[in-house]
Amino acid sequence: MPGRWLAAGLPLLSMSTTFRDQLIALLPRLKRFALGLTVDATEADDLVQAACERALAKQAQWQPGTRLDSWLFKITQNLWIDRLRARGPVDDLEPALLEQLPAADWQQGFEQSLMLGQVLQAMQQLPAPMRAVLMLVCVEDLSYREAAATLDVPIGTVMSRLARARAALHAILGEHHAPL
Amino acid sequence: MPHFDDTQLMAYADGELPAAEAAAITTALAEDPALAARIERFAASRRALKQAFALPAAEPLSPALLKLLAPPAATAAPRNAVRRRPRWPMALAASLLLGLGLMSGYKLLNPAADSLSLALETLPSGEIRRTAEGEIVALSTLAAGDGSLCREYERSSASTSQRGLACREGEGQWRERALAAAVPPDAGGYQLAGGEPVDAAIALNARRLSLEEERQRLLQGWRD
Repeated sequence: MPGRWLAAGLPLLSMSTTFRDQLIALLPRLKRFALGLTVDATEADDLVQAACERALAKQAQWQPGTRLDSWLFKITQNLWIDRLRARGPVDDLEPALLEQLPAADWQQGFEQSLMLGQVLQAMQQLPAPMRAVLMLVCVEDLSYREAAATLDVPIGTVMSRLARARAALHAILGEHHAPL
Repeated sequence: MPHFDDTQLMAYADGELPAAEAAAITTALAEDPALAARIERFAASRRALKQAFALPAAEPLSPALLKLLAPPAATAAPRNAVRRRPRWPMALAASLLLGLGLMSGYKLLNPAADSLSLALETLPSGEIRRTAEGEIVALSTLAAGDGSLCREYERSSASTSQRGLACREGEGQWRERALAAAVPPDAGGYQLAGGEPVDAAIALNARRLSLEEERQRLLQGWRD
């Protein structure tokens, strides 16, 4: 699929472009992914910096022909989880939040023009593993299978987290957003 | 009436369901309008995330990143000592240009209109069709004052995302009439040829069909 193929950092050109060049081309997406994980612009910049350092250090481990974007997302996600663990226990995957959510009125749900700030505020209320799967599938267009490989979890886990994360997002955003 | 759980409906909205299961849901949709609403909520969350996180056109790299990603100085050719400027911006520009060239070459070979027409002819609003170029999401159907039908949609590739408006001009043919950035300044704002952002429905003297009306028309091949 050409979209995927372009998104993967033009692997066909990899013989003439360096690893560094491909990494640079993927930076905007890497930064976006980091923002979705951290929900904080400064923290996101710092995470991207650390991820690039690690990627350069480990570049021999990346296999040309595989998706560089997924590989970078994986590094970024692992670094982020490490940082969270260093700060304390990582959010439980079944947070009380999800139990308390009101039954969303899906028919009147949120629409097209949500601003990034609103979405980030909502994502802040979700546990880290849910943010990661939302970003990989809904924003970066990875398939469930690719997201599972990137996060090192079974595909069924990706699907259940994704469904719960989207239901939670819908409920949170629906509360604050007037229907059209 | 068969029961489908949320995970299945999400996979349907995401185009990830195996063909047989997807066909069962498509069939059930004809008899159960509530099912369409449950699917739409997943399509809506994906659209909202995608649009909120649309990439900025240009974002400066931080000095620390610039330093990190500059190529190692003069490892290969000591003669280059005079030419100290890092060469990564050139490499970046070159790869962007190559990317654009590849994209436009691809468009020439595969007129986008075909995949768009096919998607708009067959997709209920809220559903996603993956195409060779990326994705098309049907957003809504409008009945114009003159009786013609138009549809709002979002088309995205790896690098861009745009909202568009296309109208049906003959059997299976949908022609693009207007485009807007994926995140319009005001909901419904399209840039028409005149340059004025307008609400699509007002411009066409149109009304939006309900999901149920749309489903009826779609099942009848868009005939009354």
